[in-house]
Amino acid sequence: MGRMWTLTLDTATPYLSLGLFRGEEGVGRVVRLGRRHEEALFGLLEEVLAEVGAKRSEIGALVLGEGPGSYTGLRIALAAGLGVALAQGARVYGVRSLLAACWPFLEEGGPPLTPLFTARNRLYYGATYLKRGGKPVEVLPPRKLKAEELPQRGLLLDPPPDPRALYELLPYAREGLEPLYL
Amino acid sequence: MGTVWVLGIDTSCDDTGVGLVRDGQVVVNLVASQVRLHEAYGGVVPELASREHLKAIRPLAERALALAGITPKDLSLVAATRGPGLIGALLVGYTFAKGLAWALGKPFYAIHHLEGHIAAAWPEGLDPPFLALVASGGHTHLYEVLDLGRYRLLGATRDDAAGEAFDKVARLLGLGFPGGPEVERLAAEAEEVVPFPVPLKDQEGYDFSFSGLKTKALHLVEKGLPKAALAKGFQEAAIAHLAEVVLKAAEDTGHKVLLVAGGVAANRALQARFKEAGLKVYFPPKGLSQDNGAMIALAAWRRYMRGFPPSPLSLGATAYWPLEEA
Repeated sequence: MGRMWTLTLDTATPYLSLGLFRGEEGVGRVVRLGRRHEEALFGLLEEVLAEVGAKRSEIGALVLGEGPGSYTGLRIALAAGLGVALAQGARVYGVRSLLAACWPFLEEGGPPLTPLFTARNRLYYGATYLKRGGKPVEVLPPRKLKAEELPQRGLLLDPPPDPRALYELLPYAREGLEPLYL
Repeated sequence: MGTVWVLGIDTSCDDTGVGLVRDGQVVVNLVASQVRLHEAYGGVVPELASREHLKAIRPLAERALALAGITPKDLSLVAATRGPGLIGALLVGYTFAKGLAWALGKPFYAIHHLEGHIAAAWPEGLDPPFLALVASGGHTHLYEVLDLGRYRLLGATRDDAAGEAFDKVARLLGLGFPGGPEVERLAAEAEEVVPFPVPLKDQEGYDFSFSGLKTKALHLVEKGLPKAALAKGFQEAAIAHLAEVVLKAAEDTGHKVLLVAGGVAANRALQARFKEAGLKVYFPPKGLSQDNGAMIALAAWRRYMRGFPPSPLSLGATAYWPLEEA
């Protein structure tokens, strides 16, 4: 498996996040699209594939963002990922998109962070995370929040899910997918 | 040219369909129906349909491949319904198929749902032009098929789709879903018939209308008329209407060949009516009249064999897409 690449994908937010990683190697891309992620996804994937010099047949695992976010939007990454996985017999793992968005900002022993994705009807999707012993700790699970319910510290507003974070979180991810329809 | 394997996917509404076609012959056709899930709500709930498609699609595709005894790498092309349909539902099967095609490095074909229905009824060796009636729970369209990919719309329903009318009348009569086979079964038990007027008797064009029949059925149910006689009367009028419009179009255009596609094609009384009329009529084989993946694979196979280029993976799914633009 050492020679295999991991494909990461997230379409739960207005950003299209994707990347191909193998140990320290790899390239991630984040593009703000708003809608229609499915039209841009494969072109960007092709670019990343060429940039890292990987072959499609070398994709051994996928880590996909499970949301929360737009229901139709988040399913794009999941459906595309399942199709890629079928071709290669690859394993599929799911990670919370909110965790993937705040992972680059979490510090060992540092304060909890609450990434927020703007939802409809003046609501936010939010969850609170810590990093302890190099692992993510979910302090508060993903849920819908009103503006007056937001914590006063450690807020990250609409951070893009990070493609490399999805890869780094693979050891803590579950195999299989559990889309978050909040 | 070696063996051509096509995998076709349809998730345009509430059924997840995966089919495999080898050299134009259907080998596997699996449909995971969501009928029971939506029955409780009295109709298809789009968001629920999309969620179910996502759960079902990979296991269904794996089972289809296993049943055919092939692996993904044996596929020559991958095809999926691009539209029309429920956008959230379409996107699941369509994006899954793109992912599969991309990862295999194989051509991808974005297929029009109604071209799939027509392909399911189109026998090998039959050359266009001919007429095609697509009548299902979501569509009632009459086309002139000039060639593969060249269609002229002659008429369509002004209100309910034919299958939708059967579903609604079935519900009025306390029957199950889908309504077509249920109404047909009850009508066969009838010893008498309550006559219904045939809609749009003197129209200039080739349109259809079923809502009047449905309203009439409602009034008659409220009056307490015998259900079997009512089912028979409704079915006779609905079929007479479909037949009148199609036969008028055949006479005006001079076409002698008709394809009847979509779920309503399974109605035996309708099949008999067209055969009586002296048209050469083709129906889809059993299992291919309802929404399914094999019909999408058949349409893609035809396009591929005729040298139509594959679809770019940047082409998005679409809820609205006239067949004339496919």
